[in-house]
Order: sequence, then structure tokens, then C-alpha cells
Amino acid sequence: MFKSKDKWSLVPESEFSVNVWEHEIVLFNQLTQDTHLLAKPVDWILEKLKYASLTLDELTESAIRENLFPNDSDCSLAMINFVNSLLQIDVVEVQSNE
Amino acid sequence: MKTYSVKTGPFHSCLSTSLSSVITSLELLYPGMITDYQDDFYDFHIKLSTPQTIRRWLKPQVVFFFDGKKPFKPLPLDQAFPMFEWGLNWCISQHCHQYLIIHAAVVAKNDKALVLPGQPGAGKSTLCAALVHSGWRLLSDELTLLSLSTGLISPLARPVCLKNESIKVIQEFAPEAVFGNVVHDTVKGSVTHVKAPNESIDKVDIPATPLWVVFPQYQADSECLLNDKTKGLSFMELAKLSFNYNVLALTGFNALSQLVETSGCYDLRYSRLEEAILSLDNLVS
Repeated sequence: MFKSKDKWSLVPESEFSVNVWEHEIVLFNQLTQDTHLLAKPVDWILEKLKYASLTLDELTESAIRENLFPNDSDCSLAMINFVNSLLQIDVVEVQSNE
Repeated sequence: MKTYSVKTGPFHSCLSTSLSSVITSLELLYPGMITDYQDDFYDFHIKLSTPQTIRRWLKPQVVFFFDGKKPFKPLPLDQAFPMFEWGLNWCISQHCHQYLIIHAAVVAKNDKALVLPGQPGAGKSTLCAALVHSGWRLLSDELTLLSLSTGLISPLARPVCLKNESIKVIQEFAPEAVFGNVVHDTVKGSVTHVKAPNESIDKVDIPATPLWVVFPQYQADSECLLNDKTKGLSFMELAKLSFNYNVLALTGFNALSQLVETSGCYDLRYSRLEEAILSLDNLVS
């Protein structure tokens, strides 16, 4: 299970090409040469992590501030699911910060 | 053995064969595209011949040579022409990476192209054959060649391959069409090839701009339904149906992105050709 202090970042040296069509994101990972069909707000998460490593709480708070998520009890779980899906396809990595 | 020059769209093939069934079929189905050998540059050097073994007499076979190598196992001799067609598809799809090549039929009206991608059995060749005998121009029934440099689709105007029940369906739909021999017991069942209409052959050097991507699916007794398909799903299916998307990597991604971005994407379910054609005519009008 991920911890709240864990820092999330893009996999080093990775480069992505992204198409955004309504709620769909088609992402081409130039490092792995894989193509993935994802959903919004994955493009927003990638943009955030491009400039800094962030914790889940920081990502979630930022998403609420920018009205991507409603401020309710489900938003943390939603963010975990999104970053975990990016972890599964080797787009992001997580570093324990304890 | 005689050597021929076969010009199919942007490709120039050198074909050596003494098999009369192949020569007869080429003369019937590739009018104006086959000439005697000329000292020229060829994209593909193909030879179709019988093995020099006892197989020459006992259950005779045909062997497909590409650049002197045998990429496929021999087939029964009566499958020589289908083997030429399938072999030429293989030559193009494995070597011509100046195109993003998609497993799709493609037809055009007023040089605007409608791409019909689909797995075998989806009904794309049947629908393609019906469309090109209803006023559409044939670009290809099997290989959509999306130019990486221009984003346009290059025509091939080669014969349309029909299988099993589709043969009778198109014989009834377009009795004026020119059919090759029906060859039975191939890996695809019974197959035949239908000559491209003359107007399509005449315009084989004129590329078309892709504007629509329609994923057809034949379903017995279904009413005709043309529905929007999301661009993300369309992209992923097209990538899966491409022969060289992975080879082209980022270049392939960019080419496919442009195709999907600039095209309307749809799912088409149909059972009756007339309804499907009307639906597609309405879409592009």
C-alpha cells in the first residue's frame, strides 16, 4: 500500500506524446514504445509531475484546487487509482519518503 | 519461365513464372498493369514455380520466392494465384515503411477517402466490393497505405479478395463485375478475386485525403446502425490493425494521430449491403 509521504515522479528519461480527445488520453511512451488508452485527468497528472515529485496528498489537494475533483472523501481514492494505473505501465515511479 | 513487370499503385514488381493459371489471372485481373519484363528498378522480385521434386507430379505444389528466399510453405498448385496475391500483400506490409500500413479496405469519392478497418470476417472486403460497384473508387481492399510524408492514402487498385459466402453475395450484387477463378480448400476457405473497376485503375496514381474511418461489422439480420466511435478507441484499434505501427514508433504514432484527428470515426453494423451503402453515401454527402 502506498504511504501518504511517498513521492511520485515521472520515470527518469521518459518522454511522452499525448493526444487528448474529450475524456480520452492516448499516450505514447517513447522510452518503452508502448501506446496506452487512458482517461482524464492523466494528462494533468503528467503535467504536474513533469516539474516536481509530489505526494498523493499534494496531487489531490492541487486537483481539488483546480476543480478537477470535487472535495469529497472519494477524491483521494480516485487519485490513488490514477497514479497506480500510471505506475503499472511504467510511466511514473514512487519513492518512499520515510 | 517468363518474366513480367507488374505495376500496382506505387509498387513495381518483377514476377517470374511459367504457371499458366497465374498468367491468365494476371491478364484478367490486372489489365494494363502487367507488361513484359523491362530493365528497370523493382520493389519486389517474386518467383512462383513448382518444386523440382516428385511434387511436380504427385499433388503438385507452388512455391513463392521473394528475393530468392521462400518465406512461406508451398501451397497446392491450384492456389498459385491466391498465393501471389497474399505474397504481394506480405511484401508490401513487411517492407514499405514509408507508409503506415493498416489492415483496412479503403475507398474514395471525389478523392476523399473512407477507411474500413477490420479483422478478417468483419465484412470489410464484401462491403468494399459492393461500394466500388456503386460509384466509389477502389484504393485497396486489404492494405491502407497512409503516406508518412503527405498524410494522403496511396491507391493500389488491386483485385478485391472475396471468401466463401461473400462470393455469391457479390456475384448477385454486381453481376457485371469481373471475377477470377474460385479456388477451394485454401486456408481461408473458397476464395476468388474481383477485378478493380476500370475507373479505379485509371486513377491509381491519384492519392486521396482520408476523412472518415468506419469500422464495419457484418451481423446477420441486423438493422444498419452507424454510430460515432470515440477517437481514443478508434486510435487503439487502428494501431492494433496496423502492420508496422510498432516498427515506425513515434512516426507511426504521429501519422495515426493525424489520421484520427482529421477523420470522423464510426462503427457500422450491417446485414444488407444496400442499407450499408446508403448509410455511407449519406455520411459523406
